[in-house]
Amino acid sequence: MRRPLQIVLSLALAVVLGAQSWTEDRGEQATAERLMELGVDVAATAGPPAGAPIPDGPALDAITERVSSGMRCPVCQSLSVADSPAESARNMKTQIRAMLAAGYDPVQVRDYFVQAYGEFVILMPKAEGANLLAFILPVLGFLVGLVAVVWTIRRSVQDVADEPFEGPADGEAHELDPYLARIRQELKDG
Amino acid sequence: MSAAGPGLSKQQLLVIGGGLLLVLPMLVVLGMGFGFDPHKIDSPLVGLPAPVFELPALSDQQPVKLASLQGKPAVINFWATWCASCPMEHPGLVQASRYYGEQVQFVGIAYEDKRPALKAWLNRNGGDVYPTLVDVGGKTAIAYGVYGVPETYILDEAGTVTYKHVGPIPPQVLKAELDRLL
Repeated sequence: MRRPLQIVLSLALAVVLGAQSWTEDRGEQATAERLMELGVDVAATAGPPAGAPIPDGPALDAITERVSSGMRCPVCQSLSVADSPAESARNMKTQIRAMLAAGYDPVQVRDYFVQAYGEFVILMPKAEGANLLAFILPVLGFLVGLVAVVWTIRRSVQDVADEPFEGPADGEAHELDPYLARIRQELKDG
Repeated sequence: MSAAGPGLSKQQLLVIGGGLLLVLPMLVVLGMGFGFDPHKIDSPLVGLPAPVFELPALSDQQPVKLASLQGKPAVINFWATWCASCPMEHPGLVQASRYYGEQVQFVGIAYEDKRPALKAWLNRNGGDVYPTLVDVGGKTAIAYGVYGVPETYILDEAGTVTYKHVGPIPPQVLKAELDRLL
């Protein structure tokens, strides 16, 4: 009987340790200068920056957060780079910040990551080809459901209105009469 | 209600038809998903020049550039000491690097790892047979679109990525890909 308990405790411990190893720093910590370096491949891959450099500050924080929110953490299940605590995602966010700080616009940053990881790295798929199903089907399903609900309600209202009244005619005995008489008697008796 | 068939009213047929119209496309899409591995993502880098890098070697801290690997086929293996399947993959890579000798340049790039752990791991697993580079901050892993380790990229002598393998690369696959380039 103690075996199931041991298994459950072992699994819980594995989950806790697994989560810890997932979020802790496995790699060496880069220096601040190294973090803001672009990486020697960026100029060759992404070309020159389209805009002006963005100085460190709230504006850079905000745009980094926005761009990171649209990118998929490669080692997580459906978490954005902005939301994931994984080291890979934090490295990606640092790279996004470095590119934006250097003057690369969000489209250039996204294209740079897509060139390395493929379209999978973008959380919102492009509305083209088979991806269109992801945009069309939910709307279509909602509309069909809405029509079905409205149609069913109208139909049941119509059925009730059309239903002939089948109550007892005046003076005619009804099957509920004994019960009604009993209730009236009980009310009368208090 | 008017009967539209044996035992089924027109309304029931309409509901069943509408339900099938919604459910069947979903079943087709789900059916197509069988046999599709969502973790297998073709690298957009295949056929393109490999992203350049300049990383310090684990052994002597001297920077190693991608350009120094060009002129012969190269194998770039991203790995880590905490990776469960890397110890199984490593002997095959060591054996291949010895087999091909000067014909092929093998390089390991350490992913999210620390130098002392890397040195200890290599000492336990046959030594630093080919150069190991340290990717602090993971910028080279990002440039190569590394999802996890191990991942292996094979480059031709011009530095073009010809193949990417996710997970431990089987020796026969490695040999087939390299023989194709030699």
